[in-house]
Amino acid sequence: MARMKFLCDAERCIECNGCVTACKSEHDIPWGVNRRRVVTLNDGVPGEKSISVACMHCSDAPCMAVCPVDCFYKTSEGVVLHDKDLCIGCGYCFYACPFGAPQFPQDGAFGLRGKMDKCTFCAGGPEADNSAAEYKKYGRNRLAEGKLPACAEMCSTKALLGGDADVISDIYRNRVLKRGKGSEVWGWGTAYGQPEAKPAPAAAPGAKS
Amino acid sequence: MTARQILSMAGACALALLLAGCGGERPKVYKQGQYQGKEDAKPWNNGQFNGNQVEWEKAVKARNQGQDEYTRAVASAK
Repeated sequence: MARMKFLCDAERCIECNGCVTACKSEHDIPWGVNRRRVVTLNDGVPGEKSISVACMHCSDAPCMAVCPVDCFYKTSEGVVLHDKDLCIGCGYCFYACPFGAPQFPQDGAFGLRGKMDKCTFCAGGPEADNSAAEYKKYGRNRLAEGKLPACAEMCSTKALLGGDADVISDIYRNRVLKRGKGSEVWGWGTAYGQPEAKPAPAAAPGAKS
Repeated sequence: MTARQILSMAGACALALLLAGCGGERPKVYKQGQYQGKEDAKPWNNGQFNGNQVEWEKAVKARNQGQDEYTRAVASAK
């Protein structure tokens, strides 16, 4: 079965935060919790680059390794999920994660730091698929509907790809080989029109026609 | 009924009650490094796909390919 992964193309990301909004809207994420965010390097400097970051669903996930109550599990599709009924909100996973993916709501049963919340690859959690309990704790389960994460599917420039690692790698590889540079960029003509044809040089007086 | 018989009957009843307490859910033993939470269902084990993994994989694959505008552009040009 597929290994589900995200891949963000920094050449295409325009920092629109559409992925962040899609995620927030799809799962009713509360204030202060950002399962996904856009990071910009050299912001404001010509040539700045942005990438969309969330849980990368690591093959050897450090959050799983450090969790003292072992509330993490990996699905057969390679998605790293956790059981919120077991989570004690200790925050070890946040320290272990190199991407800052684990988020902690500012209220709830644990006072200032609630149970950990993170990107689920839109795969819900260990509750009945598409049940009210699953939606409340983990958000919508798009994978059980045969769909891919909302952030990737909503991305306007298709900078953020999500899905089977082999397939999205192929898409990205093909894109890098074909996209070209400057006005050769694929889609340039559609966006800015074809380059104007140069007018034919005027015939010199007395020249034979 | 002698006192001894009464005592042995009471003992048997007490033992039966004690054993009845062991018949329920077994206590969970923590195992280091093993997921301790609830089991999660496969994404195709629901009303939409009725356990048909092939159909689910087909749906996800179609969505995957939908992210490739090179193939989408070729398909729409036809």
